[in-house]
Amino acid sequence: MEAEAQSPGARAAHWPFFLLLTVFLAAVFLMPSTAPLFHWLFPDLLRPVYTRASFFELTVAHCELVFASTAVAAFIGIGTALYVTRQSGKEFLPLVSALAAIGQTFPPVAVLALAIPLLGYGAAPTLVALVLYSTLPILEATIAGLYAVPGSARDAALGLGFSPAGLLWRIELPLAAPFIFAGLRNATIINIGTATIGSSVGALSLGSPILEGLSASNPAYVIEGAIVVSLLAVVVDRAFETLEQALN
Amino acid sequence: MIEVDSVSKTFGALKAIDGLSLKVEDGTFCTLVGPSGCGKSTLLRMINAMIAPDTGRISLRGADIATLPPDQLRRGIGYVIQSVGLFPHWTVADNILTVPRLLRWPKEKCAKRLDEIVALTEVDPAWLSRYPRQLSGGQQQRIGVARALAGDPDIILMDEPFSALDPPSRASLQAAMRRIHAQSKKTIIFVTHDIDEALKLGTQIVLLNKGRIAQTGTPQEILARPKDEFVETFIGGTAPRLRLLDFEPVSTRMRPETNVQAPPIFADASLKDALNLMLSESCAMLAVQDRDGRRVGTLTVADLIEAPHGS
Repeated sequence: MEAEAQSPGARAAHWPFFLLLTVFLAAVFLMPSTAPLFHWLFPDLLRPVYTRASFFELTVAHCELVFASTAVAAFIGIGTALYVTRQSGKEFLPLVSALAAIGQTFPPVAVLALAIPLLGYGAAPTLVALVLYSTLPILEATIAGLYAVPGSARDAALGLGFSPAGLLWRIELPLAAPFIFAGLRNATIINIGTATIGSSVGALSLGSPILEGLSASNPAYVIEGAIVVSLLAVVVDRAFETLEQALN
Repeated sequence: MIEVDSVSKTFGALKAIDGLSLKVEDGTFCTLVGPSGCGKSTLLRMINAMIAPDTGRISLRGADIATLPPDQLRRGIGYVIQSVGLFPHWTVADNILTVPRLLRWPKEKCAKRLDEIVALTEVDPAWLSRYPRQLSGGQQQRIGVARALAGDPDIILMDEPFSALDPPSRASLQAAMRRIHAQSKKTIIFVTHDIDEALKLGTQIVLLNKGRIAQTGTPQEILARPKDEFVETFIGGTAPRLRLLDFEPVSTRMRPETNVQAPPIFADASLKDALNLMLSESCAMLAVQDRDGRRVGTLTVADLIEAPHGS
């Protein structure tokens, strides 16, 4: 905690949400007018600002990838966690935990490479990689949240006559909600970063300027893409935190 | 009436309940007591189908509980556990109204019931809008008792409800349970490992050992006639002969003489009160009076030691 508070990133995270949002929107919409700045920084480059697609277009495409993959991961992660913590699915808990951990050790680039022969180029293999990658944090957080429900509350609820579904909806899920929410937040932030590699298989995302900059030796493109994607991550993280505080 | 008919339950290699049969009449305050591992909690949790017996049957109000849907069954039975288990995300009022809401009582009936329960269990109305974590352990368990009573069940199961509490809280909740039992005539099954608590609260004591009933009866019967060495040892620490004096009124031991002067005591006072008075007045004799103040007899210390007609 102490060390984190010292780093510039963590300090930026304490900025008021609307200030951050303004900076992010400025970066998205005003990027074309930064040409003189990047020209001054990199005088040798012919095209100092990425123009193949607007940064607004890139951001929307990026958010679509993140939203779709996180939604599917949430569905799979929460659903699986609920199943393996029920009486009927208990025996699968060790297997599911092991599979999820193995899934996490798989590099996303490898998942992309494996998915291309099946799904071709573009957004589809990217979505598969993102879903695989972000299911684990949601699954783990949901299991942790359900295990954090006091055993005494569960015993009392059953003894007083809750049905299994009533126990789940009215006692277990509300008590596990902060954990599940933290898992969703984690998965979303991971996906915002990881979605950039989708551009290596042809998906449109904020990774597009970064990858093109890398292959064409244009450091300005890399910086522009990286600035917008990191601001997006910080803004979304702040938004989650604001929402979390509102829910408590 | 609760009827347990030759019930057995095995956990792995452990025979928790071994062919046990028991009848508990309506309105009984039945305490299940015994050393740890004797099966008392298992027996309790079988009555509301939290644990299913391997063999045998249990019936409540004449119906075999195995034939009833467990959640419906449990809504008609109060349940209090040692670890309390209040729902941390609900206010005290919401916690108390758990069962009325499961039973879908209308709003006005719930509000009326809340007032009744608050009065019956002596819950401070200021707590109602608080969350469980804002209350002490004793206060939380008082809410636990209130929650168990809220649906107006005729049977209440209590699993070592006061074992984890400090002595003043425990004494206060024990007194509350005695009062509630006397007022409501509910059937209470109360598990404890504390023989003192069992004797203090129970009208029927069930002493368990290794999954079987070692002895059952009123506190007096258990204290006066322990059936075997196990029972004798288990009640040994309670000074059983001294404690028996608690259950017998002065009138059963007094002699009819009315002419001796001595400190007065009522005929319906307990022999323990009489002994206490003798000790505090440093005398060996008391003048027994009825409630109208009329002299009806005399009690001597010899009468305390040996009953006149040899009981």
